[in-house]
Amino acid sequence: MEASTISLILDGLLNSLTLYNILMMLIGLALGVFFGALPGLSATTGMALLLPITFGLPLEGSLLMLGAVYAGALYGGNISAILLGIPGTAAALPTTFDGFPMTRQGRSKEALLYGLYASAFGGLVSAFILLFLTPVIGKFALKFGAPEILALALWGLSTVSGVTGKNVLKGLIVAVIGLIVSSIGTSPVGGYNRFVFGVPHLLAGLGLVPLVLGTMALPRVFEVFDQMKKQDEYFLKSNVRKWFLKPVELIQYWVTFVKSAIIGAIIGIAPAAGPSIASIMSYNESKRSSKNPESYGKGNPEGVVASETANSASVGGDLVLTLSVGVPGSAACAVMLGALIMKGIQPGPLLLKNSPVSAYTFFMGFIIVNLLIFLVGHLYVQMGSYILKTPLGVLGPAIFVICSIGAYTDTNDLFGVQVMIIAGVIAYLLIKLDFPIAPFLLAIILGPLIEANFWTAYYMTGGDLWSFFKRPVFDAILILSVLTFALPVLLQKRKRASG
Amino acid sequence: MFADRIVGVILILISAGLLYSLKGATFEASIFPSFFLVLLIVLSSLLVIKPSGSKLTFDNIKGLLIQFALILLYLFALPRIGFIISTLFYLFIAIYLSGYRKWIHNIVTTSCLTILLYFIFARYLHVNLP
Repeated sequence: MEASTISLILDGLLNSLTLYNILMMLIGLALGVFFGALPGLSATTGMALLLPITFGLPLEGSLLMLGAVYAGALYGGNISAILLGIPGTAAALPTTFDGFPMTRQGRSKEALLYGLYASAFGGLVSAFILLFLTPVIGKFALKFGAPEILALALWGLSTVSGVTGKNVLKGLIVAVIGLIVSSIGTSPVGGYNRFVFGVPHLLAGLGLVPLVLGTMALPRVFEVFDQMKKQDEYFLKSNVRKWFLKPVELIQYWVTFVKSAIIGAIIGIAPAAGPSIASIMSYNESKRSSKNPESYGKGNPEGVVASETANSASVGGDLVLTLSVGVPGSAACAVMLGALIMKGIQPGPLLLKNSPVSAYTFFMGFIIVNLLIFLVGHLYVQMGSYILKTPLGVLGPAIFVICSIGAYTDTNDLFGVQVMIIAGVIAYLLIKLDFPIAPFLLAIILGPLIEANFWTAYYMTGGDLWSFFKRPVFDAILILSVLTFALPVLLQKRKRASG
Repeated sequence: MFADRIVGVILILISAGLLYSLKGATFEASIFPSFFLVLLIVLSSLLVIKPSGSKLTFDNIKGLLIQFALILLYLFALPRIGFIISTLFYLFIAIYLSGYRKWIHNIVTTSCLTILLYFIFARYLHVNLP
């Protein structure tokens, strides 16, 4: 490492440790955990709502605050996932598989502690990835053109195979529906209005926020309505006092911790394949390689660890891509990108050259954010149990109202809410029929990226598609995509053949 | 297995309709969606031919439909009587109908939540609620 880098790291560390910045991180964290724990409000919505506030703050403070919201929301997502079986954020979906059964068995605090330790560990991995990989990828990114970004987007799409679950056909159908939905509106080339049918709102396409809320949060609300009568048999009372996990309890799962962190980190770097994809892939892998996979889904702490470590570990990769290439690694990162641009800073390869101190302050601050999560999180674990006392009948309508506001803010009229409700009903019925919903999200984020960059690349090379393959970075990412797509399928096949 | 077939047929019909609506579009504008629409028709056909055994079952279909009707009413009322009044009514009725019968609790929860949300979003975050 060069001397200049070390001095930048030290500068960043000192900068991020000022009282003001720590305060910003704590506020961001508290808001993030709050947004994350509320189903329907995700890291993305939380960050989007904070944008107007950060406008008045200094650059470093606002970046740290947004980063803290992101990390906090991912941690907060597991609180409602474990306590209510409703993932606070889409990324916490697999956490519900084992976390919620643990709560029903009266082991909620144990589950929450595993979630906390896993989140903090994954978050630290993220922070170090961000610190060391951003400069490296930034150098690469200088050579990125439209074909490379196209390949990156295809890589993101290839993670679909890891999240389809049992039924690959249904997963593919959902992904293709997402790609078609993403093409609604004015086409990037030629300006033709596709699938608009005279509705002016559709010209700009469907908003991401209403679609995310509709497909991720509303199905849960409907499920709560559907199961309302069963409240009494829902939870077992938890009287266990538990403040910490013993080292033995953690060390027994070290393989899962490490493996999930690696999966999370790699998936994080693939564009759009953010925390939600990482957690599902990691959960599937952990279940696949486990000695007793049948204990998954019945309250195995390993499932909580796999999901939570991976989703927090993916944040680093997400942010690396956002900061060093200027391509948002996830919907939440798109908001981060917006914040940077609002401040007059162009994210991308030149970020480290133009504002190195701010960048390193953010990198070091992100390490501190995750240490703070670990410290403050113990308090949340103790407070969390009070949520269990809220009757489901109150929870369902309340969540719906909060989601509606979220969707409303997207376009500032009721169109967003209508889109959310329609998407919600369709998603709910499809989920009931065992269609996985994660591929849809992946597709609506990546669809426009794929189409626009394909045409840019097409015109750039004068329509010579073969010349794409003469670009080494394009080839490398393409090979990575094929591997990402094929690996989960092959592992599944091998398992079936041997078992 | 019936349900899967219905989904497949609906998807094929919608795709065909959308494909038709692209008639007259330029090649650049239509190739991307057309490709995926054709792919969706192929995949849906596979689903119709080889459906899995998924079934559509509900625990409390009546409650679900009533709540859904309430949501539609809320959506209808929002632009007409404003966020605060419609949310107050919606939350109160929805919570009451879901079987939570403690009047006082309900009124307190409903009003606190509505006012809290109003202040967070309308006042603090400057969202123009209806």
